[in-house]
Amino acid sequence: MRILVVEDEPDLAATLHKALTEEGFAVDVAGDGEDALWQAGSVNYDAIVLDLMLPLVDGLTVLARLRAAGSRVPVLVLTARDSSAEKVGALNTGADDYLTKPFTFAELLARIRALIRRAAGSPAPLLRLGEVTIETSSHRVTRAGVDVELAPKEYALLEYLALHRGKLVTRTTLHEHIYDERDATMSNVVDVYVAAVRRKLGRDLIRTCRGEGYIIDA
Amino acid sequence: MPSSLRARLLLWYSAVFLVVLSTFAALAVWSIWRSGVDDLDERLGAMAAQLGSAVVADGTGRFEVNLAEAAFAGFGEADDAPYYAIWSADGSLIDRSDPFIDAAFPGGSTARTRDERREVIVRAESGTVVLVGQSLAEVYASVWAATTALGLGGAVAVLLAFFGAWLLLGRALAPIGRIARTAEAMSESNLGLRIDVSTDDELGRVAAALNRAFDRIQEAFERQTRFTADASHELRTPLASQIAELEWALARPRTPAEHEGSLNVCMRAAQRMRAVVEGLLTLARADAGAVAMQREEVDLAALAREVVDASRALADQRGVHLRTEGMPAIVRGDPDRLRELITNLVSNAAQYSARGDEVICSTSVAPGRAILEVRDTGPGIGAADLPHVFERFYRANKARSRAVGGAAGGAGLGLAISKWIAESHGGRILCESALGQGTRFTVELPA
Repeated sequence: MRILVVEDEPDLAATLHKALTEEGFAVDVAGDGEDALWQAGSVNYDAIVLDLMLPLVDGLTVLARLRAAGSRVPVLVLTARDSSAEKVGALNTGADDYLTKPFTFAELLARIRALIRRAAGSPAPLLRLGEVTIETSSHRVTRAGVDVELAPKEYALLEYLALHRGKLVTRTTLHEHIYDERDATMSNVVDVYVAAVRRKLGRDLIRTCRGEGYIIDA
Repeated sequence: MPSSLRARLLLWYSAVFLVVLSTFAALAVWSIWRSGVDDLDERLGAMAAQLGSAVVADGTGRFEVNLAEAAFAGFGEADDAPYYAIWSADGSLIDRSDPFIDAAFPGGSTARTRDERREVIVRAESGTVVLVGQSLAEVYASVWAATTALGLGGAVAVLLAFFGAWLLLGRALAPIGRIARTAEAMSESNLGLRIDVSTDDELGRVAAALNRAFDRIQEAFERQTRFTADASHELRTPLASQIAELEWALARPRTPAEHEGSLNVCMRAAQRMRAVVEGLLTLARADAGAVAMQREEVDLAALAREVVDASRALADQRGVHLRTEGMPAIVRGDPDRLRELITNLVSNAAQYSARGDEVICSTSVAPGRAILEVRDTGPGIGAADLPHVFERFYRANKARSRAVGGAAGGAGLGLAISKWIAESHGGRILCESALGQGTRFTVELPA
């Protein structure tokens, strides 16, 4: 899952980057509104964490422009402004959720995951794929009731395909959603991770559409 | 007294109306009485003159009233008919129309009222004295009729005036009800309410004045709310950074280098919070007037050198050149506060300047004044932001607000504090700037 963190306080942005990365997200950071718009326009993010008080272009304007451009990306507004008018304004501009600073990271994480699940159309936190289950909150994966250890990128790939099950996902899309801009990787890493997941969870879980991508059947 | 203004005004109005009406009615009745009596006197006088001229002495000391029979017919017939009596010059009764009238000689010419009768006494040329009298019943009757008519008419007029005034007062005082209801409905969450002003009369002006007062209250309230929101924002942001960093550091085992990084993040956040809290405390004490200012001789030039030397390391780091120039400028003031003022201005200038920019802190004197100037060659402040730079938490350019500044500078309170320090020394602070032209802060203090 790839996330854009828009935050002008450099320390907080850095903290969120390393904490979210540790949770298996691919994280990009934008320090001002212009950068945020540019990045959101060039990458198909799974969620955006947006501060409202931003240099150059303020957060509400960023949000309004994203929505005006037809973006459906889930946006969580994270700001120190806590008046109900601010919350109403943000939600009415197109925000999906609102969290005030100071916050606990666990809550931020839970909200981001909920936003991503809802956006993918499967709000249940437990995904069942035949004998395989995926707990999105804890990244716990089992096969026939037995825990299976997955590397973070393997899990990210599995979760993305599982959330979009029934839909063909191209290699490029998969790559975009499990890596952030700092990762420089070769194009065949997706195939390598798919092979690893198949080895651990069975050959039939992920089906290959030759020349196009991968799909987990519904 | 009733508590309603309407009832009280009505009571006063009715009382005054009643007094005026009664006075008028009394005057009218009195003048009707007067003219009735005057008319009667005139008639009786004419009769007396006629009778007087009709008295003829027959030469033997006897008198005869030489008058046509018809002229006598009117006298003494009915109760209310006129009556007469005639005396000779020596006071002996010559004739009278009715045997029961008082035969006492009345003396000289006069008109008198006796026993509800009016009597006119005339002394003719011959010396004969003639009295003609008549009952006042007719005059009384007309006075009574007038009194009754005035009383009834007056009562109707009073009632009409009373109800008319009740209605008019109701209409005139209705805006007071509206004003009261609006003021009653006004509350913290409802400060936008205004009285509907439709007239230009006294109440309209009261309503307009109240509306203006409400505007000012709302403005002050909103300023306060904004200030509180800004203050909490300034505290929540570093707090959020600190908590998130600590959560990350404690989530799982970390290396010593990672711990050190976390501690640095927490330290920076704590310093920012300290700057905000100190700034807020200073301004809160300033607002309460609870800050005692020392008064001693201070050289602004020496303070400026001190501040610039202390800020040099930070400025060098940012590639900003700092220097001082000018002559000694002695003022009487609080050296710590003045140092804070200069520090705020210098670090503000350094903070908003880019690599290669210059910040010059100069001092000079003018008659009765010492002048300190801090000017930079930075990006300048736009005309829209210029009037607000001394407001608490106002930031012209948020992009640079996170850069490390000195004292409360980074918290958005530095210039507000500087303004307070200048003003509490009896001086003032000015800001001149334009985008791309750099910025100049001028502090003028009484020497």
